[in-house]
Amino acid sequence: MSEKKGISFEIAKNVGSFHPITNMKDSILSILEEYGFKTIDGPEIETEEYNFDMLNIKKSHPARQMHDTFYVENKTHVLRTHTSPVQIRAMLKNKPPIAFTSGGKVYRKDDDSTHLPMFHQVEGIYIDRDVNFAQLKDLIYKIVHSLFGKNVELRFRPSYFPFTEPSAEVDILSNDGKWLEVLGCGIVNPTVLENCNINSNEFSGLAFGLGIERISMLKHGVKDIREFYKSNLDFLNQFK
Amino acid sequence: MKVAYRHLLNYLIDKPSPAQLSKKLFQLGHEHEINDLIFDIEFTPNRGDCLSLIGLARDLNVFYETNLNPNIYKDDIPNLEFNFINKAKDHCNRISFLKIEISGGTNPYQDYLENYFSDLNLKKNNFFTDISNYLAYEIGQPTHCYDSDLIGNELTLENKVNNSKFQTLLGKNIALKGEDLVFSSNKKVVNLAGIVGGESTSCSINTNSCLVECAYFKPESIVGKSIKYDIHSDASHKFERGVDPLCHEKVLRRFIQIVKDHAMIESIELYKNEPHDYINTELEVDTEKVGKIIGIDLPKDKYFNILRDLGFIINKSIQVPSFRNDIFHQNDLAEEVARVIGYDSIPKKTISISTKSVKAFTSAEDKLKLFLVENGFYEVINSPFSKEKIPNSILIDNPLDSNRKFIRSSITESLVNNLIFNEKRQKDSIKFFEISDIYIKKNDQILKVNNISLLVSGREGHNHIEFSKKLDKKYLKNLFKPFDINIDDKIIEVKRDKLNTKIKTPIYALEIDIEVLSSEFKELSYKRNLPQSFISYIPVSEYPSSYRDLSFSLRDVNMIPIVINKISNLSFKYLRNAYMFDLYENKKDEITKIGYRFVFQSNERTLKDIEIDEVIENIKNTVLSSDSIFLQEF
Repeated sequence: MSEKKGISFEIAKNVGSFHPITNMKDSILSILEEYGFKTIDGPEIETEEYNFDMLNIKKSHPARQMHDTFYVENKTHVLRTHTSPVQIRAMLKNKPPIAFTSGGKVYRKDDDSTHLPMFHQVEGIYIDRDVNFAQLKDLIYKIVHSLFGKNVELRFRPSYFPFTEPSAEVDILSNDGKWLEVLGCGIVNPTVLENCNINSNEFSGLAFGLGIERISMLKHGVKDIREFYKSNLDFLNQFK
Repeated sequence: MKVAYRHLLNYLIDKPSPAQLSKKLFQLGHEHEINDLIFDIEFTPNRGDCLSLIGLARDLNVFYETNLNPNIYKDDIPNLEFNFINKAKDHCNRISFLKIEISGGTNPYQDYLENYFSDLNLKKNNFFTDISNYLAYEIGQPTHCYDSDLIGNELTLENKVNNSKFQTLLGKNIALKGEDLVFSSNKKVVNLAGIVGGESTSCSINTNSCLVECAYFKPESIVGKSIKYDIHSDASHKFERGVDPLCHEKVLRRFIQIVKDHAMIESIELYKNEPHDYINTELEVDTEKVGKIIGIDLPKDKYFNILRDLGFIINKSIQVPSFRNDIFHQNDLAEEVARVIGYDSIPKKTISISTKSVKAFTSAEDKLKLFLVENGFYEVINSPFSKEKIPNSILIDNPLDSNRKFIRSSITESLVNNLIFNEKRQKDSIKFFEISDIYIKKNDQILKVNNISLLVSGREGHNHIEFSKKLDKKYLKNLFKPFDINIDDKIIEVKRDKLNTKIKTPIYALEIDIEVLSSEFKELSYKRNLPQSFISYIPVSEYPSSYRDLSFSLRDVNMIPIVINKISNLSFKYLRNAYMFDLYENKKDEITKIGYRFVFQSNERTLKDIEIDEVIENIKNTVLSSDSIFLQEF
């Protein structure tokens, strides 16, 4: 408010904005915290051991090739290709039951109109006794309904991730009748549990991951992923 | 992989419609699009066994009655005396060669072969190569055809460092470098194993005698080679994903049969190099465990039927078929059951997570971010790649290009680029911040620091109080004055002399460890509210904006809020923004003047003055509706 001769009037306060990706990441993390997940962080420069080996991504897997992954410092490290290594570190440090989520930047060697070399993910993992696929479905329904509304229709499709088995991709039905992929999930591969010194005969787990840009594009109607990283004030100003 | 609907039907005794088939393929996890009855299927990388008509029909056998046995040559085949030396048994432990000779030319292709080329719009090569290509489509096993007269009677497989030229049968010249798995004849590379054969020994339309190679290469021996030489062959795609090590005899007998369907066979001879018996993976029968993984009660007979339909053999244990190289434990079996039941048919079970989480968004960092946003700062996120090298920079071994060779060692350089970008779009008040991990080398270790950078330049804000104030060092110091944080020596002026801009406005930046800057925010009661709804984004214009200033003179100070209200409700084409930048009271004349800036922009083009003038006239007419408001144009 400003005042002149006792007449008060509104003045435009120059409020800035959080980045829309931060807002979306924090919104998703907030939903997950409501369900009992604890938010944790980890480094963006990782070892191959944590980024690949511990996650059952074999040396022959195409994702490990130089054309897919950024290697640094004479191949001693990689720019993490997903936030999953954060969960590996958490599993190594904590005993089940555990429920962790992490969100942040990840890197893949892509650069075109639909892919960027840097993007953001939120992932979650829950390890306990008798965790199963039917429960995973329940959790995914809850997350997707929180993000896209209770009436949105979901579809689960079998997929493949080396660190989960069974694995699924989840689509939502858009207003124009198209199925749009929103996340990947699955039951944690027992090999991954054993790699983290968790007895896979006693414990099982579920895991899921969402691409934040993907969700943001769907929610805000942004057509070109590159818009998020131009730092254009006309763009950022819309997300106050 | 492209699969013609009518080709697949040849292996399905039931004849599902394209729509029915599509539904089942999605259920099984085979994502696809359909165009003109051609299914373009994207198989997951673990399902190399599905990369053929028979492989796909084998997976569909859980839903439809199938015929998975194509017509094959059944008579005995004499042994081939062939000097094959396998120096790469770790990469290829099963390989066969078929020598086949025809006479009298070939007949027109039968429907099944002709339709393969015509329906999928594929180019024919020569008789033997055409059969090889068709077989890869039908059964999934890549084979390679040498012209027998050119290859001779000797061949060596070895994994070795090659430094020679190699011309592929596709006519591409490549320089072999580093270690590769190759077939050599007379010490000359004749085939880049599992990727592509060589021109020098390939079949042609004149070939009457062919040597067909049928091998099992380990996926890890092939992965990366097609990228290395930029040769994306169907063979490499299949070998990378794994082929059936036990299919050779069936494939080569099918090869003979197809030849027989089209030509007079003079002779056939077979050479096999299979030094070890294949041992199928065996898994324990544990129906309860599989049911528990999925979260359902799984009847044993239902479980067994699903596995048998998929080719598993169940006795005391579960024997995994040789074509499934992706099945290792009970979770894999659970996935088989789940996808046959249908993921969408598995009922949800309420989950209750037994751990307690700690509420986020109340950390000192969150509070600092909120403080900055409330003070007009915009958060930006930048790529960490940089062309700038400092002594401790982290080097990327395989950068996208030379401008992105290093990991940035400072956030500020990115914010300066953001500033230039926005100044080119006529922005005159810039307040940015970014929080990011910064990585540098220290004593050969990779060191992580979590930094925040603030950058300011131009006007303090777009209102009459802040418009004439400058964003400078004093502004940054005052911003943090209420807090006990000494940042004076951290604020720098970014020199413009090396920047690609003619604008002279000073730029100030502050980059500091986030913990240091946020430490005094810990106890504050700031609480950030997350957005409750998500705005629909309006595409931003790439065209320049223009502005016009108007000064409204008011005889009655009570008119101020009325004018403000009128202007804030204006809605004219091209009018993007309007803000009051000046408020002046002329006591002598008892007139209050308010200065307004109107910003115009089009999404389609650069606006002409006449278009802006037209809108300005409309604005004047709307605002000047009272005698107590008059205009003084700048």
